[in-house]
Amino acid sequence: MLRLWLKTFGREFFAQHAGLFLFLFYLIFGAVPPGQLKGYILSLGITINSSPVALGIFILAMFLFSLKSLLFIQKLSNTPVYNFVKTSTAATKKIQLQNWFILYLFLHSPLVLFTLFVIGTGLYGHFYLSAAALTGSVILIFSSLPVLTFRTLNYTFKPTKKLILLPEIAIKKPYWTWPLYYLLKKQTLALIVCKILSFLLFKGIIWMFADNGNDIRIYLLSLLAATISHCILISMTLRFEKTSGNFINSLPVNYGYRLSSLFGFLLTLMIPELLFYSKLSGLQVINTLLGILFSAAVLLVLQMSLYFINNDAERYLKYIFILLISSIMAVITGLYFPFSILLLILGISYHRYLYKNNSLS
Amino acid sequence: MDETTLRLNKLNKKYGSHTVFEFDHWEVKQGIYLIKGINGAGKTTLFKIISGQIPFHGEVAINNITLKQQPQTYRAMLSYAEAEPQYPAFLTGNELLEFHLNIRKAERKPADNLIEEFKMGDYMKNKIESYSSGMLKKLSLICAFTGHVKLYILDELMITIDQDSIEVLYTLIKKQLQEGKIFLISSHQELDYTKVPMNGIFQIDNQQLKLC
Repeated sequence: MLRLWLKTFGREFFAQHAGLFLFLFYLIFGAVPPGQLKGYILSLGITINSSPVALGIFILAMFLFSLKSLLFIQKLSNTPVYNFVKTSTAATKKIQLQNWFILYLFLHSPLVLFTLFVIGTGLYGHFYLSAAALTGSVILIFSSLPVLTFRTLNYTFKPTKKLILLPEIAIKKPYWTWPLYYLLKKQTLALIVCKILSFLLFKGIIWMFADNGNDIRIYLLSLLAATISHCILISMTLRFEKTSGNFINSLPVNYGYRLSSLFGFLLTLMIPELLFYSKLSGLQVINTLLGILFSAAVLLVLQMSLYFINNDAERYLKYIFILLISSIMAVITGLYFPFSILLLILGISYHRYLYKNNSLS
Repeated sequence: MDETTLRLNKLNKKYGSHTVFEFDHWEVKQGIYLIKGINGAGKTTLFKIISGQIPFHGEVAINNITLKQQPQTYRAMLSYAEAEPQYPAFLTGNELLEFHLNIRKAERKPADNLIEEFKMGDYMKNKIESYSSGMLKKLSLICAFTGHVKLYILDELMITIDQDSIEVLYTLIKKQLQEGKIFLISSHQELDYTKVPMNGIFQIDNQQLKLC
């Protein structure tokens, strides 16, 4: 049973999150020269141990990742393809818990290895309290995840009670809002994590260049980082459109409607970041329009590149990297306006080509 | 009443190196046609080609209006009900139907009659995620029969729906046939030919559509 779990859940988890892992890896270690990597990792471990804020953020990230993996397993188990998982409930409780424990350990392996390193650094640097907090968190995570999964699968006959009954408000859902609803309803955690990451990156770049004064390029770089951090959500919505939204291809929908719906979705997704950007850049109309144009162009190219590479996570990362570097160069050299126009032309041309060839999902 | 014609020219469809279809010409006029073939023969691929859902080489046209030249006008003339329809789970049946009605600029009244006939009235306000596979199939049929289309493509039209709904479907098909429409259907269930007399049965064989 364990081998099957690792081959199905394990492989699917890493295949779906390869982009996220590599993106985080680039984000944390990408800018460090190879010669300084050892010292950087060591100081990162010491910072997490010595700063209560850093420790809190790290533990929060651990719990968020655990929640993500738990929801991933639960969601997958409820799909018809994974119906075979239900047969595992015939095994003894001990075996079931054991297998889920090893599976979660496998899913968390990159995080566990890094956490063990941080605990080791804490003990070596006499930060016993931090090391104890981290150890406690790891124990709590790995004792609760298998039990929660066990309960979900074995007690399906128990009716669930809704603690909070929110009234259902009937709101019209135009076509362009469907990907947003999908993210809100079905990928809530991914949306929250992505938005947190987006704000952290946005703020981080502003702080990094705090002494450079009021420069539109810094705000655009912040907006770029926030925009790129939505790459996972773009990939998720494309998957949704390819499955649940594919039927629209046989309906008489004109090209303008498809394109405006896409822009409607992309820009609505970026509203909070665009508001922050607009406020920082002095609420000037020109600057705000520039930000909207730049952000929309980058997101459009992200989605089009996914079409181009057929949603291949590994190649997607390379495209993100190329887009990131070229966008940074365009912003630094002050060529952000022609660059945005160029991206828009490329993105729209490819989008139209896909529409014409019935390849748009 | 103008006779509807569906024409496929120089069709070529491949999945990687595997050729699914390769033929010069295929044409059907007003009537009902059954497309037969073993699993994986390419029935759904053919339907997806005709409905403009997947890329292919060649030309498809309804009454000389081609998909590649006038995609919107072409699509306005056909309706495709998939074998196993998939819709956004967070929408209600009514929201999905309204979407179809808006896109096709169709009236609500005939759709309401269909809802009643398919006994779906109690569920249209519910979210699609709560639907059974039979209800989902009925919803896809209700949506497919909205507006004024010339060609209906019904993939596995009878799977998962109950006998009463199959009778409703037969009546619906007969009515539309009298108005000069084309029906392309596939079914692994035995159809009642006394209720829906076939104008032709085609078998997918060796990348071609051959009349049985």
